[in-house]
Amino acid sequence: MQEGAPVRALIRIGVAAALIALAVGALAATGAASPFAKAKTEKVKVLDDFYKPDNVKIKKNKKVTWKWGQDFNTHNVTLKKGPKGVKKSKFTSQTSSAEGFKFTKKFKKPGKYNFYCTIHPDVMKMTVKVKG
Amino acid sequence: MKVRLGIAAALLAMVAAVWAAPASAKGRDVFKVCKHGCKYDSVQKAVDKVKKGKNSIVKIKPGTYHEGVIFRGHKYDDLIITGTKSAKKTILNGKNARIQGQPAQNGIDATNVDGLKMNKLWTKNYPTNGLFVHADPGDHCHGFAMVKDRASFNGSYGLFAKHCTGGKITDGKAWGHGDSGIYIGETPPQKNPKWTDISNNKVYENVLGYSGTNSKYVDIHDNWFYNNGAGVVPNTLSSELFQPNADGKIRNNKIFWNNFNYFLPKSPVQTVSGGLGTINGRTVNYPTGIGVVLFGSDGWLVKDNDIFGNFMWGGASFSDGTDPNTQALNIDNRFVDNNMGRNGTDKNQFDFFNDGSMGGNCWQGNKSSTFAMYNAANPKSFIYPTCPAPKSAGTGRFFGDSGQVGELANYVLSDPPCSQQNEWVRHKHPDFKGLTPIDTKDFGKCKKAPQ
Repeated sequence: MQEGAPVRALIRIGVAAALIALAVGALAATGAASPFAKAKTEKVKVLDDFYKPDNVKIKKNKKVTWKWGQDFNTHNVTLKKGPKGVKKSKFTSQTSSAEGFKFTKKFKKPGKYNFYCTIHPDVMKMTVKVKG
Repeated sequence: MKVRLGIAAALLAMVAAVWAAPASAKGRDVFKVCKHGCKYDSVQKAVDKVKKGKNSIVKIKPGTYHEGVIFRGHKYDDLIITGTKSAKKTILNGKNARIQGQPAQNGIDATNVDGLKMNKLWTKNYPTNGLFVHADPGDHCHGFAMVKDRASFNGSYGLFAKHCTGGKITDGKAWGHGDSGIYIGETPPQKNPKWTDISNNKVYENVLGYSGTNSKYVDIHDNWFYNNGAGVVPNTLSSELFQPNADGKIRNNKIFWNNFNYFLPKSPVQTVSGGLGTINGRTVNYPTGIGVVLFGSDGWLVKDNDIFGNFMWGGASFSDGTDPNTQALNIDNRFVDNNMGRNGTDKNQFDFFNDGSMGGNCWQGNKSSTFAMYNAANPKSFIYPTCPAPKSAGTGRFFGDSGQVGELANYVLSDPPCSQQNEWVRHKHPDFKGLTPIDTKDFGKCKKAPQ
């Protein structure tokens, strides 16, 4: 009896771990935030007059946050071209000159997304590449 | 019984249909907005229901609306958004205003809309702009109108149009902006230009009264620009489309007391500019104490204005002397028939400053004109020729007279920037319409920031 106790305890721990793994998997599948694995968000600075970095690679369902830096010009983040079926209006920020203003987007569809600032179209361009 | 029920149902349906449809006025569907008792309690909700701009008018009853309004596309062409009373009573306030969960950045932000009219509205306290109409590259916003509007204490600009053709901003007021009260920018070049009319506005206590980066075909007349850092500033920057700023008129305006030292610690307005660049690691700041600044302007006429009480210069013109490839060039500008210094009672330190770069610039028929000469290597007739300017005047290149350029550089490189005021020549202004000169207000002492 006593000899069998450690085995049963191990089995119980194994079952518990499997249940936790299942729960985490389910959370990830629904897109809900997992308490164990916080999704990494790529950060892009919006500066005078460029995005930094101007080339971002992420996996599907990851997010990108653009944050306005200290600047005096007004800028925006506007999708110029994206994968088929992606609505441009869903990937267009407000136009802002306010330091600290943020714009966050989740990328569900793989492909190449070309962004630009409509106010500074010649100089402010960037790409987000989303892998499946 | 069934027949009666049927009739009753039909009547109910008709009443419901009438109730649901917007009221109609002068052939337009009316979308009424008010805090209580209207179909729409926010401007955005009303705008979202507009199907065709040219058939629609959004009427906003007096009240304060904490929201930012945003819309884009040509289905809104010719839309009218108007207060039903004066701008004083119809307020869009940026404090705690949100759009889709984010802080609203602009009072009204309209993209790619032709013929948009925004009247009798007061936009204030937005982090970025008050009224903002603009177009994406390749698109357009022809013929906008902002009439009888007010804008105050928005982060950058008050009444703002960019990448548009034609249009007007009239009978408005704009004050307290970290860049300019009124802004026209990035005007596409046109073969048969549609002019933008800026008239009968009062613009004061901004970093700049009017600013227009790469603006063209702008007729600025019968306005008051006073108590700003600088009054009227068309300018050219390479960061934006359609260089240079060209072919504008500044006429019949009153441009005075532009001595707002917003660099001082207690200034109610902070510049949003981190500077216009650097020279040898030193920041180039906007100049203050000036009535009219033509920075890299081509073909502007400055005529019949009253320009007085500006502690540095009444009217200044110069190129970007830092870049041999610049398009910010000082060419073919004319200062003619202006009344400078209010008949000697409220003088500018110097009525005119010119860096002597390029050519075609001339000065003629101005009343009481004084010309700034700072260790100039060339004679006055070379730097300030009469009209039409002889070909021999001006350096013909981006870099002007060395003495003049040196003085300009010293001024804009002043460190700390509030110490620009050390070069001003101050005096007490005689009364003008009961207004208070901004240089009589205490915004603290100019101290060098700790290193």
